[in-house]
Amino acid sequence: MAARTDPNDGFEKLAEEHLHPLYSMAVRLTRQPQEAEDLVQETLLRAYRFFDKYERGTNFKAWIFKILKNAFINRYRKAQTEPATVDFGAIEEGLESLVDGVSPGTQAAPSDPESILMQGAVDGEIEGALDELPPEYRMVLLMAVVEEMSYKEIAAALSIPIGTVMSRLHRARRLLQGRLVEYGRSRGLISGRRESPPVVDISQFRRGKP
Amino acid sequence: MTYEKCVEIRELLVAFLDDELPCDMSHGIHEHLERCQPCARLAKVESRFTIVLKTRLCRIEAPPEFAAEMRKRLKDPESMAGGARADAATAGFASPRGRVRYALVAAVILTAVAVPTVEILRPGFYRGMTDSLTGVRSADGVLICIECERLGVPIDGQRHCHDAAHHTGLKCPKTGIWSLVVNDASLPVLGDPGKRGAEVTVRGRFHGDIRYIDARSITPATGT
Repeated sequence: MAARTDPNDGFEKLAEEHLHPLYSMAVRLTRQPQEAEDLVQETLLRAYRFFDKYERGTNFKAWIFKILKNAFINRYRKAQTEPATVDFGAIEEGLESLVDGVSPGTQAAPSDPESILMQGAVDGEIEGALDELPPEYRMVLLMAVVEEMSYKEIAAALSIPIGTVMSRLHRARRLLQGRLVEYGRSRGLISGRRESPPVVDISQFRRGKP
Repeated sequence: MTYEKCVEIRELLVAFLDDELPCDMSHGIHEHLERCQPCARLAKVESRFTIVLKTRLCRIEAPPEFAAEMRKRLKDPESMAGGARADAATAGFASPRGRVRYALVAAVILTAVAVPTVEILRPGFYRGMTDSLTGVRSADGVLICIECERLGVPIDGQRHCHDAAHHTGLKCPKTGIWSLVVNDASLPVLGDPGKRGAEVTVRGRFHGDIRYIDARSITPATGT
């Protein structure tokens, strides 16, 4: 007669391995350490209760992050029902127009986008911009950048198509870049607007005026 | 280079750099970047930006005490379930929203237990409380025909008054002051002349200034 296996066998090891990633995501989402601890506890408790539903051999990280996401949404349901109000159209004007304005062969001009990004990053502007991202964009960005999850894993964790992962990641990065470009302008790192039209102006194209 | 192509490429640039695109699509973007200087420049910046993000947005480690506590609980999952449940309850109570939720639950439980208990111990307590809040109260008296009373007709005679224009009133046996009782169809006793002279308790809204009672119920006098 075969010995009965514990349905929660192996949970401890898997959960422990993901403790820090879970906390990291939780604290970035809630922005408060105490809330993050509560969220992680709730996630682990739910994961333990439903561990028998987890298919062995599949991606545990995507599975437990999905639980974290759902727990977060449940806790902050009211805020979640509010649609994202970020004006992505305006954001698009940032980095691309800067890049387009740099002539081929130009060496480290004052408006060098890389220098601007680095300066903003060094001054901690990214963290502030990250907090301003709607949670659904923040989660995608953090999963891709910090947790180095594949798009497929992110799609599984957030229950969204891969195309949506790409789109959210693209927009999240644009938002952060937009913030750094603004910062560069305020610090005088960008030498004003271009005089000549850009080679490709995405923002104008999107408004139907190429 | 068309605008459409560049727009399309730029939307896929991050996925391309993350090596998340199918081979044929990736190959197409690679070819485009070889020909399009602005897009190639943007690709370089995006690539650099990924490094910037990875450098700046590091994983935030859980506090050692919290991690230790979680590890301890994970060693004994059953206790973790209980402990986490208890902690979740405590944590819920600690947050403002949690406190409101607990207060509401406590209020519901308290009401469910206290209301029937008080009614058992002091029958009519809630009716009295509601009456005082709504202005409803009770008074004892004798039912009379107001018009006949004015004419000095004795109560036995009033019992035979069938004049539809006459009104029923409540007379205080001590002071002799009477009040008009509204002739509500739901209180048939008011339309029954045979009931005149009966000692009753009228419950309703009293308008002392105009000696008018908007009656809710008329029952045989309780003597209170």
